[in-house]
Amino acid sequence: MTPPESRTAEELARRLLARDAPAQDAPDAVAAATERVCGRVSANLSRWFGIDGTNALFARALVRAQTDHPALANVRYSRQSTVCLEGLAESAPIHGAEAVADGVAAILTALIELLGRLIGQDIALRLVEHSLQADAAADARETGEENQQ
Amino acid sequence: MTGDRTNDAPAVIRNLPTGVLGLDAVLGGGMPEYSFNLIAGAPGAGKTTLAQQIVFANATTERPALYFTVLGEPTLKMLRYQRQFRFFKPELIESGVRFVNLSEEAVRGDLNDALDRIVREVEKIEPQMVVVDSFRTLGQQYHAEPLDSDVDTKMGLEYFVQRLALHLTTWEITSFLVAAFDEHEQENPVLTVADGILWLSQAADRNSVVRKLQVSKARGRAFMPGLHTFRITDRGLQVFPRIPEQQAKRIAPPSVRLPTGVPGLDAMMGGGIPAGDAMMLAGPAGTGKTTFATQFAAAGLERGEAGVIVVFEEYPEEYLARVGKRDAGLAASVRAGRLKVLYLRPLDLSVDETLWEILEGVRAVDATWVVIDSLSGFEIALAPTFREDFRESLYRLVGALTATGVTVVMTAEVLQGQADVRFTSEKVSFITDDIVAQRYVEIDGELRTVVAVVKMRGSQHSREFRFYEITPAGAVVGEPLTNYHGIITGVPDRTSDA
Repeated sequence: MTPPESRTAEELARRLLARDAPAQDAPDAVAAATERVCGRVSANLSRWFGIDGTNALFARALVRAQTDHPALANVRYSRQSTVCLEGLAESAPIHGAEAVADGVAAILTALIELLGRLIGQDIALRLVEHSLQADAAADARETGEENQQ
Repeated sequence: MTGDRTNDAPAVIRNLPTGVLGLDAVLGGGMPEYSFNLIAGAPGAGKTTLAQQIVFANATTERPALYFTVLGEPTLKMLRYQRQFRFFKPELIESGVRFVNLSEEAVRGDLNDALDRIVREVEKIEPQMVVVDSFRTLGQQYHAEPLDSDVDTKMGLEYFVQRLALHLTTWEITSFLVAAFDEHEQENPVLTVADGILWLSQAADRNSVVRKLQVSKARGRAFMPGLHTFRITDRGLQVFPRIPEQQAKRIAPPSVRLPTGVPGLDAMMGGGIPAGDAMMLAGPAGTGKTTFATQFAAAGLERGEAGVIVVFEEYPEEYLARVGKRDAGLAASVRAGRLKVLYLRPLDLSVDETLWEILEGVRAVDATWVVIDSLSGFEIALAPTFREDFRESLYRLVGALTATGVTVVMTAEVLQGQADVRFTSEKVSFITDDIVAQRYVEIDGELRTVVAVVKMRGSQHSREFRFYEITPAGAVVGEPLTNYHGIITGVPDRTSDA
């Protein structure tokens, strides 16, 4: 049975992914969307923990998620690139869009759980959830700029 | 011209609470609002904990705090450890306390970049408080850059600090730079920019560690100078201000005498202990010093007074079980909240911490008297650095306690040699108002106990030696030894006319 804290972490991970979910299930679109989510979470956490700290968290979360998700077998965490996960686009046509999305959800879940064990689940959830709010704020700004134009 | 002096009135500088018990008093009321401060000290001194304690005591969702981390302790680890403290409020994270990592700017070694980032974040958040921890790691990277000379390096960091201070003050922000500094660096020009400087230090001596805090600078304030000991517990830092300052508010005790609970001794003392005095019961092991002390306590409780007993050598439960065989009322008074038995035995106590604990006990039960049982135990409980000058330690403790108006009764173990004529330890007798000496004497091949009032400051008292016995009901003072001489040697002879 999944422990409650994992359920909460997974729920948040799914919400993060759902926000960027593509209209169609095309593997390329799913891969691109999941990469975007990771990039946003990574950027938000970097403000707190620095790039090195965030990289370390993502790398560990990826290793953890890879054990249960074959779709992530050849996915690598890029330490320098702005795209945090590499290999999703290649994996999607082989394993399917759903398997890739599940794999990324597992990475984010593992990341939230790991962060929760280190600094407490309440703070971990709040910090990762802040990525959603930051996204919403960025969207609002973009919409405003478009309307002005 | 008398005129309206309103325009001449100085700007009111509000004090912010530090959230650190004892520190506001040391700072002269708290942290001056909009001041630019430095928290300095060696690694492990408690700088980050102090900074976070102040942040969490002040940050709100409306006026958040910005906490910039640089290259020292990673934020992840900092949060992990700091949230173990009770002052840490997880609910304020992000909404009230925001952490910003400056490691990229630090690695690049560009102080302009770092300053720009800080200013950007400040403009965005408009915090009431800013911490840069550890700002010196910014400087270290700057040092690593190729520069023309060391002078350029120093000026660079100093200029950075000056600009930072200017920005933060303009934004009406109270700020703290946290930095590892050695004590010999007190002349560092960077320190001149700060409005306030808090130095934290810790010194290991044998098996104990004593932490000390010093306010070496606080612009426009009458702060408490000197070194103040502090302790870090799960509540964070707690500072124990030095005693002399606490003595300023002296409370005069009532002009009455407090019965000792031993009628014969009261008679010898002219009616009991003058309220507000410090009395020492001095004698060799086994002479019943604790019995006399607890009878004083029991008598006070019977009169309806509350009190504090401080023990160092056994746990309160054991102590009460032992003395409770005779004075069952003591345990009942503890339950009723009229008696507090304090157990202090960490072996690294400072005098100020001991005093704080006792005064807290006095306040808790509204005590009018304190029994310290015993001074030997107190001496051992002190950190070695304070033990070295026990006289001063005790002088400060007793002075501060009696300044609050409480009557203090202390027990002290003294050695008794056959030819020894000392009644008390030379080290401590001068700090007491009254001294009652207990001694063994050999009378007709039997070991007996005698008591004498050696000293009563400003009062007439008996000069006799009197027998006393410790009975199941307590100490009972008997007849005087009128027909003996050489009593103080412990082996008196009968006088020829006896």
